[in-house]
Amino acid sequence: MRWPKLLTIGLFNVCFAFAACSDGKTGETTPVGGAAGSTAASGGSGGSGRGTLVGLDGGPNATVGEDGFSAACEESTNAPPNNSGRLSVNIQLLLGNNPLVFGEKNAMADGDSYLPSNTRLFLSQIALMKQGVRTPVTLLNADNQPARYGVHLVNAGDIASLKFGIQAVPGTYDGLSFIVGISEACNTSSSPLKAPLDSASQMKWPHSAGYLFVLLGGTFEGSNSAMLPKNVHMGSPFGPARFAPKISVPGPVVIAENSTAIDLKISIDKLLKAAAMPTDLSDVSLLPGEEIVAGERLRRHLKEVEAFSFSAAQDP
Amino acid sequence: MFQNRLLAFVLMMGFPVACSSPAPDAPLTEIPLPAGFAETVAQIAPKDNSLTEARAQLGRRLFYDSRLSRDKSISCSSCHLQKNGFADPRPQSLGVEGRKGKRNAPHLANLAWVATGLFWDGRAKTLEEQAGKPIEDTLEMDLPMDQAVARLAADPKDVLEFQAAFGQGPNRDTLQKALASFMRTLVSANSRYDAYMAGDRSALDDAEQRGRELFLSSRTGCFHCHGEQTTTNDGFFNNGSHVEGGDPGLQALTGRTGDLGRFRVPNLRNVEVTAPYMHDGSLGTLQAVIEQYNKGGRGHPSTDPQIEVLNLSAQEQADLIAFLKSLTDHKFLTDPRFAAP
Repeated sequence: MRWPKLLTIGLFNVCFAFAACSDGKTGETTPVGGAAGSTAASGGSGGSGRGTLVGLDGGPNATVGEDGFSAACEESTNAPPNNSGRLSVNIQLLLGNNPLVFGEKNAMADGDSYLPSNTRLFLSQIALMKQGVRTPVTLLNADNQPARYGVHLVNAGDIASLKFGIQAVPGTYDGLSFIVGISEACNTSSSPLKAPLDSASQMKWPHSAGYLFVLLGGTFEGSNSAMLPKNVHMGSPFGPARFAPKISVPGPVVIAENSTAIDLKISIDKLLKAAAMPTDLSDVSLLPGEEIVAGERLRRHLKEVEAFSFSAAQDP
Repeated sequence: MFQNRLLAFVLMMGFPVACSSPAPDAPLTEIPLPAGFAETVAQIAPKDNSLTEARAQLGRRLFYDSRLSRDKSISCSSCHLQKNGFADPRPQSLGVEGRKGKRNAPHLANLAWVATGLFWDGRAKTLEEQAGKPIEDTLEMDLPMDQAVARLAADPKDVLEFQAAFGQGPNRDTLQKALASFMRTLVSANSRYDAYMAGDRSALDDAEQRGRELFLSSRTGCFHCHGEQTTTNDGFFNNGSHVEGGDPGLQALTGRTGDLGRFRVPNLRNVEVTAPYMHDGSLGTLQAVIEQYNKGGRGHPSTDPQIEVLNLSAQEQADLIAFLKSLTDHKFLTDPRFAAP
């Protein structure tokens, strides 16, 4: 009697595992996972299926993962002492060329309107780029303290979240990179996590399936209202952080000891368009739900739509 | 020998549950940690109102004290009944002189972890702030705070208790802090669903497990607002209950178009006994709730885009209700530590 239920739960989880391309490695795929607990790998990526759940371990001897970021889900992310530079990043959410006004009808280029009711995304694994080399930096929260888990939740309904800080070695860098999402370690944590990865983030999925990385919800009015998805849920329940798209935003980016600032634009209309782009999803078995399909489209097209940019060059 | 082994077996079977719920005579500050939360109540209590037994017990006494209403006819407990999960079985509560309130009184379990605002519209940011408002609300207890404080200050026993708890006598701040301290201790974590989440797969029967799967599926999307473990995401949503001309909810505070008809997502602890439901108490049964969601709400254009017609069968609706009933924590509903002293 129990096995059919376990099989159902297992199939639920299987259906979340999928192939994805990210990190500019087009064609790199990870097959749909098998039964829960199995791993699958293909190509050079060594991608995994459900793999092993990682709890809140880590600490001073935590394994360093990809790009120099911790392989564990560490709550505390203390900055090295020589990182005396500060950069304040102001986030501008845009719809077309205009600021997105959360909770109000926004005019779109085609004459329709969009009323955003929920606009959230995780940014993490922030790094500065210089001559092709990515150097992880310390993400700071609104209190100028290291952000928990090195994660920032952008929430259009919370003005305070439209700003974060970076602590790094002073200098001029070529650009900024981050992942739109969270690390695999945090995504698969078996223990409840604190904000911004608690249930109040509204980004948690059930069945230990991890988190949403991008959550868009809103209503459209107008003749083209059916063309864009009203709900977009982009997440990655299992698998490595590669499933969280890595974005590079060209600068220059100046870090100085007397804090500098830069404006990071996020084009919500481009995210919505990416979520509606025709996409061959035959290589993956997704759970039913238009929002999940839209989320997978978004993941696969996020880089090409170039939704992230700096508004103007900083003065070096 | 057999009886000893049988006794040991029976004791072992009861051990997990017994260990997870405080004894009837345990301190109020002995508080279980429900699934889904990373920090205990003691850890998240504000620094200026750290949780102590003295404060919680004082708050408990005040919770049942009718002197906090103008005509001394009602107390907090008049609208928050323990047997109903500290909710009110009436659609709207009745204040002094039978004055009818505007909304259904929310239940009080697990509010210690709320960070997004209390009341249906989130207008109180902390439990301390929330505690004072019903006392002064003219539709509820209708007693200005200075008069409430004066009544307490006139009683030497009260003064002593406040001094012991806060190092000072009764005033607005200490009165609100005491009530907030008691409310922080109202933690429900011993339902059969809790046992299931802790690993006891036999804690839910087949219908309840089917209901749980539906609850956590993309097909219903219940988990988007009522998360898997905490049963709330602490957000504000228009779940389809709004009707034209109805209570604007969060919009009354923010003025935003998109906040029309948005109300706080309550957790579903003890939902079996916290009827009626919704901000207006308009749905008297869980069946009515499921039916409203099943048809995609009441059709107002302000409804959240995640609310859609579900096309659930009668069996699926019954399974969902069975699962919701598994959230009932009978220990919480009868714990003498929460009852009138």
